[in-house]
Amino acid sequence: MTAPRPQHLPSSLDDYAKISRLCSLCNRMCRHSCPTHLITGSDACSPIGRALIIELYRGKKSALTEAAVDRLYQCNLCGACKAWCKPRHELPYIIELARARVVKENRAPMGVLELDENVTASSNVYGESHETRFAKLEKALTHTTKNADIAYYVGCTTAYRHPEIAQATQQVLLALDIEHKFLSGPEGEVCCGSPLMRAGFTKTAKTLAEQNIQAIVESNAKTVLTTCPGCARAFRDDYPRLGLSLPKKVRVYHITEFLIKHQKQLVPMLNAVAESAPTSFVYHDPCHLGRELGVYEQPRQLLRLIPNSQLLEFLHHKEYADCCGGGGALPKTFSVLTEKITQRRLAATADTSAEYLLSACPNCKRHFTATLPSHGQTLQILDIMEMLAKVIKARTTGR
Amino acid sequence: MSKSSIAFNVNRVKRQLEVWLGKENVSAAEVDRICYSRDAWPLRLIRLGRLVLESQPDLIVWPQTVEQIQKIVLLANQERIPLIPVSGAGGVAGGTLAITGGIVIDLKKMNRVLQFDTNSLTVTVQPGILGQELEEYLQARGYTSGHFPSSIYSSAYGGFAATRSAGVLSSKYGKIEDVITGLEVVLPTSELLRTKAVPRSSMGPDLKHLFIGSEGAFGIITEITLRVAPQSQATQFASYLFPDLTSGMAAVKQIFRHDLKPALIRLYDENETRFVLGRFKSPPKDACALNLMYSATKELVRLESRTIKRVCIDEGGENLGPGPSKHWWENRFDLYYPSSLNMGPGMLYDVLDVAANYANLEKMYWAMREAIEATGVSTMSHFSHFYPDGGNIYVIFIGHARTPEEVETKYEEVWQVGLEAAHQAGGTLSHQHGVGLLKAPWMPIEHGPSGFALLKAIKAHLDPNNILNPGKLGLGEKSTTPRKE
Ligand SMILES: Cc1cc2nc3c(=O)[nH]c(=O)nc-3n(C[C@H](O)[C@H](O)[C@H](O)COP(=O)(O)OP(=O)(O)OC[C@H]3O[C@@H](n4cnc5c(N)ncnc54)[C@H](O)[C@@H]3O)c2cc1C
Ligand code: SF4
Repeated sequence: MTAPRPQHLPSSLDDYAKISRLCSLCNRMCRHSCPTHLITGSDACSPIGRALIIELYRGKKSALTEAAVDRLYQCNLCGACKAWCKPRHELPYIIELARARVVKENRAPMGVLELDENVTASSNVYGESHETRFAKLEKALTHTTKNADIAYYVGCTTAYRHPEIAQATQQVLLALDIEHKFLSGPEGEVCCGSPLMRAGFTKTAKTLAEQNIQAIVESNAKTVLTTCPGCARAFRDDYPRLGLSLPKKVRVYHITEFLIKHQKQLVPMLNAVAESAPTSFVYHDPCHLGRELGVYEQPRQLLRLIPNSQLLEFLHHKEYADCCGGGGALPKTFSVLTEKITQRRLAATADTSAEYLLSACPNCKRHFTATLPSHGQTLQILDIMEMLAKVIKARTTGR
Repeated sequence: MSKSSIAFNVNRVKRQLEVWLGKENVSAAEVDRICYSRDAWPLRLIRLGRLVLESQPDLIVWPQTVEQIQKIVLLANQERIPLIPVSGAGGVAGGTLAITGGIVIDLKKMNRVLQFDTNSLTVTVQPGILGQELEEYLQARGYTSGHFPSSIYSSAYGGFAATRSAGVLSSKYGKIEDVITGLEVVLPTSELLRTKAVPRSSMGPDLKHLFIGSEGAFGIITEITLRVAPQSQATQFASYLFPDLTSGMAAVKQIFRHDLKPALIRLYDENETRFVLGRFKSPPKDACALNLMYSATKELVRLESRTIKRVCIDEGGENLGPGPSKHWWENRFDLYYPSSLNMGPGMLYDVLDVAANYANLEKMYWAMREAIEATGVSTMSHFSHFYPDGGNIYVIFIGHARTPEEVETKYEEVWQVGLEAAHQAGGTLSHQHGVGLLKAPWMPIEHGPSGFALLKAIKAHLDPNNILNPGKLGLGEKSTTPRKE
């Protein structure tokens, strides 16, 4: 069960005074789910502690000191606390608002300032040239259809760090004969703004949102697909919160929501060659896709279509899934904490004895793959799209 | 310089601790100290709701080994620095408040399962493991701790042991002191004491009981060995409605006399019955509900269910089916989330948890209720832990006052008259929540002059420099109210 999504949330910290006050006085009912608390052991580094820091600031009892700012930015905004909160308090959103206040007071930590600078200078979170956004996808571009109704919004992490996810996505789309295009022109896609929203840079996020909306409008696409849940959330939740929206006719889907509508066509394609060895995979729910967009079943349904395979579950899954560590701009500010959170999730994978760890988010993949070697585990990490493409390919090539 | 009443060179001590524990495991940051200036004591939360800053430690440390704790304790003795052990900080009596400043030793980084002995059915854990963490570990392997306090999310085993906590399924699984078979404790002078983890011993007094319930005043618990149980084969819920408290209580007594120990057995007074039955039934005046859960082998569940049904009906109970009890179990945490109802401006609330023999239990309930309600607050109560010889009462009160001062005066008055009534009726002044600061002034009354003098002598012997958790249990420090900054 997910909470009904609030639309057009009030944007001032004071509008949320009631919630931050109650959370600051809570009997710590969700603290045990907070990955940053579990690693640091600190009560300040917990939903309740952060709410109290916000209350102290609102009540002018304590300034936004370096330590206070650190505690706010040590949150990975994974939303695990919401799953355990009976009154369904949207504390992560309040923390985002507090971060926006931090930014306004020019007290943002170095790491996130760099994020803002990167995006402002080159429209992507990695600070790489905007012109090279589609450089790793040149071949894929040749398979796109200019007049297609469907636009695949690739996003920064897929474009610059994990192009294999975009390539796999295209293979699946092509196998299904689904015409699509990329938003790749000079006026094409830019960073979706999600990392900036999370980090408190709403102004920059708004500029990006406007550019992306324009790119989509000019492309005449009716459907926008993303493989990144953060991007999907930005279009669906963040843009309306910023007072912006896509034209009504345009629908934005995470790829798993879209593909599930094509499951009938997918079944024969996924019917892998008979002699293929049985596979087991565990699916990791990305925070943005699960708790924020409520998409839990579609990825699982898709994976269940793969014959001769076993879909395993983490002890903490769906609404209660633990974060991969990469959320909330945490890697930009507290990379050691990020790595420890990632290691925790990887350790939980070992409990399932799955051969593959699958996610449906390029950021999860990025953090899992970066941390796996230091964790010393033998495990294959793939995006769900890569797994689907792999099975389809095995079917068509007989391997 | 620290604002604590015990002066020490915070910076120098911090530097030393950083060498031993690493920088990331020591903090003197203001926001951290404020976050550690509260547990779940309602009075502290009422004050914190007004952003009253008090009882901050000077430093917080997160040790990861017993040796580190021993070093900290030695240093604290040399420098005369108060040490406050914290496991979950979910205690409800102010037990972790740094009323004289000092160092909070947060044990949350010591949260591992050290050994799980499936042959003996015991598990050895570090003190910072949360109730929920251990329960998940055990359930994944087909076992259960059986220890389900409503603070299972927020409290840890060090705290459970240090406050003599009781889970909601205690009639079947026992209270914490029934399941602890062995302890390791760093004494206030830094020596390590280990009691043998054995089923029972008659080699003189059982030393572990000196530390179970000692609320950090006698030592820092660093390892706990507990009995665990296989997960039950079958679970069944049942609820009955009795014409009044006396008939409900008679049924409970009969259940125990039939040698049955249902996992859950909760009898509600008329006020809480209305709340608990909610959508299920509108109960007649004076009626009291009894919620039960049977959790055992299929045969035993059948036997419990059949026998208890007969007992309840014989005592005038109406069978309400499993609904209310199951609903309570599934929503049992609801009451503990913060809400404007109890946390709103001018509100005061808390729970008195007392216990007595059957001979005094009902009398005590009425005396407390009358005394507490006379102060102008509302009450609702339940009896949630029963024994063959008696049970506890959990009196919830909620009220309102016009000014912050009146809130605190009324809060204190409720406790004063409530505990006085319980004492006069022959009850103990806490069944499970412990003493902390809240009940510290009542320790001489509870234990009598010679009993309390003995406790003081033990404290003086164990902790000659009065380092460990001064003021808690009414020992070692006069101040019993939170420290103003
Ligand atoms: C929502 C809620 C529901 C509750 N329900 C129940 C219930 O059903 N049953 C029940 O019995 N209680 C209940 N309580 C009270 C509380 O959970 C218990 O008192 C619990 O045992 C405290 O554990 P903790 O880890 O939170 O202890 P803390 O608050 O950390 O500490 C409590 C005391 O123990 C001392 N201490 C902590 N760790 C150590 C250690 N390792 N060595 C020595 N001393 C130590 C502290 O100094 C302090 O004096 C509830 C509390 C809340 C907030
Ligand atoms: S989000 Fe809910 S459970 Fe967490 S601190 Fe706030 S009120 Fe408590």
